[in-house]
Amino acid sequence: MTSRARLASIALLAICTSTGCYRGVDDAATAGGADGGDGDGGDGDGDGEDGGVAAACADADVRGTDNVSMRRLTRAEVMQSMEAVVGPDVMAASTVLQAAVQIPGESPGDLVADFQNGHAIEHVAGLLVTAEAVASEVGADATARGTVFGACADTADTACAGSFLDMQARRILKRPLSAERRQALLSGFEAEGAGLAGMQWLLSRLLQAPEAVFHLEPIRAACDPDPVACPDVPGGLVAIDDWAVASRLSYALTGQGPDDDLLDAAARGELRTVAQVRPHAERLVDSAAARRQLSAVLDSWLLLGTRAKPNLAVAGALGIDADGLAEEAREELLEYAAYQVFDADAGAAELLGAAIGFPRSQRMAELYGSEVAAGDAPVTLPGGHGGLVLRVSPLMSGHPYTSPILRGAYVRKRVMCDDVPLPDPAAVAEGLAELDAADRTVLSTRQVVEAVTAPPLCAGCHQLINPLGFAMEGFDPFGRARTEEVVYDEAGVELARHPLDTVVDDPILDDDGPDRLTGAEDLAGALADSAKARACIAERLYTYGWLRPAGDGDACTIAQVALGLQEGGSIKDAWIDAVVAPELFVRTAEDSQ
Amino acid sequence: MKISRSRRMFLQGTGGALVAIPVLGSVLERRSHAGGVLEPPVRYVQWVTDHGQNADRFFPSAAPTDEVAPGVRARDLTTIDGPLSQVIGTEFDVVRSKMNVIRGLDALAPSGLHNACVPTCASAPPVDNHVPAFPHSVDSILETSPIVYPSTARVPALRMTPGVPWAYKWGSFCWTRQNGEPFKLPAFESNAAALEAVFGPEGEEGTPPEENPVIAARLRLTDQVIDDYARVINSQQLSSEDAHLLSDYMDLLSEVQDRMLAEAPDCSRPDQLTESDFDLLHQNAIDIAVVGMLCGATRVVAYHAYQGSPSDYDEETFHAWAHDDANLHATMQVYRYEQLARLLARMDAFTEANGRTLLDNSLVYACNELSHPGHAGNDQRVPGSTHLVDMPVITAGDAGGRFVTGQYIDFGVRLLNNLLVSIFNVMGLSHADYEQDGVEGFGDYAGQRAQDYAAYMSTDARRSPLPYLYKA
Repeated sequence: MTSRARLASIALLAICTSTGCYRGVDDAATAGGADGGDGDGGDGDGDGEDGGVAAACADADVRGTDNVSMRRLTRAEVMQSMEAVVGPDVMAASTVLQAAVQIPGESPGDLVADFQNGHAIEHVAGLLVTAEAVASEVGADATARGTVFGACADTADTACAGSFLDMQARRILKRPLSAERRQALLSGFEAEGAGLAGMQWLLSRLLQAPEAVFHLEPIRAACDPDPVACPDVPGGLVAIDDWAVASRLSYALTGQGPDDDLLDAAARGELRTVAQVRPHAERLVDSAAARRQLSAVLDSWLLLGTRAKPNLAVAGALGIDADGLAEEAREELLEYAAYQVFDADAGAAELLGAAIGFPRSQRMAELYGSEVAAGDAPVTLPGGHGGLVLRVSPLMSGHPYTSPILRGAYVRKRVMCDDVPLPDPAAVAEGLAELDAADRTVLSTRQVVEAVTAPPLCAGCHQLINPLGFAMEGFDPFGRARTEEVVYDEAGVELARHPLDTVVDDPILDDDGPDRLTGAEDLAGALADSAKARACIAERLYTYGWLRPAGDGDACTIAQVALGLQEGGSIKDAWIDAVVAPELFVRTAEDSQ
Repeated sequence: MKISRSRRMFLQGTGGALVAIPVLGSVLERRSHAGGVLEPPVRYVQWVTDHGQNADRFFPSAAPTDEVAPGVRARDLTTIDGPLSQVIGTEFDVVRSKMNVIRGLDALAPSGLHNACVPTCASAPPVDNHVPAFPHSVDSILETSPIVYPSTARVPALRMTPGVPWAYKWGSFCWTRQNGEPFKLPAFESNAAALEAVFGPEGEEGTPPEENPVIAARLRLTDQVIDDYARVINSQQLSSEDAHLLSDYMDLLSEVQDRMLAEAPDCSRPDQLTESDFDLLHQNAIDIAVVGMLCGATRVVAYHAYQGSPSDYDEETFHAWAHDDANLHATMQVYRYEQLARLLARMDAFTEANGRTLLDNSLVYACNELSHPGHAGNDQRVPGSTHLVDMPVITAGDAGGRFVTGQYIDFGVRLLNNLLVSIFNVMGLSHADYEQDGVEGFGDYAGQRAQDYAAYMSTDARRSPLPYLYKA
């Protein structure tokens, strides 16, 4: 059984199978859904209760088996780790910024899917010049120099360099230096003539060290020579050392290296159980770095960095200032999510459905039809706005008109984590030609889409997509609430008006989901109640920590996190649970030296 | 751009264009795989854009009629009045005699999944993850070829996605394998980064690398970093896979060192314009690419152009236009091809030691990730693989006399793979040099309606360059 099938067994009805959804939902259900009908789909009542968890966790031996190799740090992790050591002012220096652009960035799309665990030469060359620039900037800035190198930096001798290594190397490398390594570094310092230049040399070297470039995961020494002898580790796995546990935890929740408290705990050997680690996670998740990390999770999950920008012609005709609007809409969504997760300690229902927001400008408030949010508290959003997706950013279209198909597919794939296979390209070509040829002055967008996707070949998938999109037809291409559809041409000239129809039957959400949605507010409510959406949140919180799609060995934890959300747990707790799980401590034993 | 006088070259403006003036007969002296000291090497430029190309907007309306080889028809581009097409506008007129417009080349795909590397790998993704089945792009083969580079180059492949995230699904169309897995190769999003790669540390131009104190310091530093990697590999209890990752990094550090010691460019660092819009961004990027080739830093350039106007870049909207607005889509493509025309004209403005221009001495291959972007349903030649049929190809330069130019060529129904094989032939590579993954030829040879190409599936056929176009 695949991991996705395991998740489906918790999240209940598998509506689109790997063979595609052309055969339609009924056929898929008859065939037993994505898990092949092997009967382990939980209690099947759609509530995500413990039957699903039991099924997903039935095979304890696979838990952690997807932790096959260490991964490299992302560019963001590299930069944030440097910043944690040298401070934001150094990292904001123009010389550092100019150097840092030479480190290739990551995909602005779904990073969990797109991440490549390998370096190109540009990564190596970019880090070289960036480390040099950071070290140079630290040396040039009196405050940074004292903070990073110590008071003796200006005329540094070997003792000063040793003091610097004792103070900073553990933070940069995220583990202690061996005596041999320490001596090698000091020899390098002396060979470079010592002094401030030597200190800069040392810093530059440390910033490029293997521990600063990779999430190093050595086997815990206590397991040596027989890793399997570790009593708390299932067969086929080995326990990683305490320093690696500290790094995994810290990067998953903050995107940067462990702080001193965590490193001290690692030094004491106190990061070997969930109970030992969880207090650190609770501390870290309340940090500013965790807020930044949540934004990264959401960017990858909801594709916020690649959403469409507003249609300029129609924006101009309507007097909407489109300059920077997409970026502002993204920021608004991120602020909303951070508020719910960190300030309100909200659960899934609130995150997915609350009609509140943070429009910080008049134009954003006008799009929402709300007041401007002036302080720390959110404002109420009218018109059906709210939750994670019924917001300006996900609703915005680059067209003069809405796209119920794109909106519906977005909710289906991003919020429900359903697989929606790509359709037959010939059928798409034909359908798009029909869409293009449709007379929108006569037919509403919904009518056009219904007609084009009516053929049986299309209907199988589109019955999963269209209803969700139609329920969002109460929002215009800018995400504004509307009571009728206004048709514009590409120049922004109004061509026609159509009445809205946002009522849909059989939206096929959860097993026990609603049979009918009357519009966006119903959709928000259904998503807020959805067990599948909770499972999706669990999966995305979990997989971002590992920067890889879920595998078989991950299903148990994801199921447990989903269950916690289903039982009313907070998103923050879910995030901690997703990270502080048994697989945090282990990796596969194959090929271990 | 202003290019300063170099050690071995004068450049002067003439009528708004910069031309190279030979100095003592040794301007831009280069080693080449042909061995002639005055014969510049063949440079290769691949230029890629995205979101497909409507055939009626791209190809000239006057069809090729002269049968120049079995199944191949051609028309001299000079016989076409006015602009070649809506997308290939009058900006191309100055190089019309040095370019080809090519159609009738198809790529095979297992399904209609999103693209990953069709134009440069002749390969599509087997599953919907934008990862090609055959992850080897032409540039990645050439950059590691000792035939193309008898000695280490400063930048073996200068990859650029000006102003655009390379790692996005519409980013770099450059792939290789790393540890057996497909690996998308980064491209410079920033011109500043590309400039640094080509010219190295600022302020030491003219100094041989081995005498450059900045490079010397970096060499010592990277030596020590390599030593740190070796110590960790030897001292920590790592899995063999993790140790392998560290070892790979050490290799890259050594490669960085080699490149630092490679012969420095023959020109001074060019001035760059303030990049206040995408026009200026591309002007700078083009100048870096041209100078990189002209002055010996690279022989391989992979250039990507994704903006839609001087101020417009929005992939999601461009994607939508591809599907449902042929007019806006064409406007976007016109802008992109203006950048290609600018690149070709710039390459043609520099004369090299053999008396021919950089463009003459190069092969430029321009293509789109897809062919028809979704509208072609009614006139598609191969139903079900619309996206990859009749790929919109332009070549320019004759690669030192190895390619026909000035033609509109229709190959009928043939595989794009053979064009890539032709490129390898031009660059002096044999099939033993370019074949990968046990595949005879280059790219995918399976997919929907593969039987339509049965005549081109034999080993010999796969390894054959395109007739007429390639001059053996």
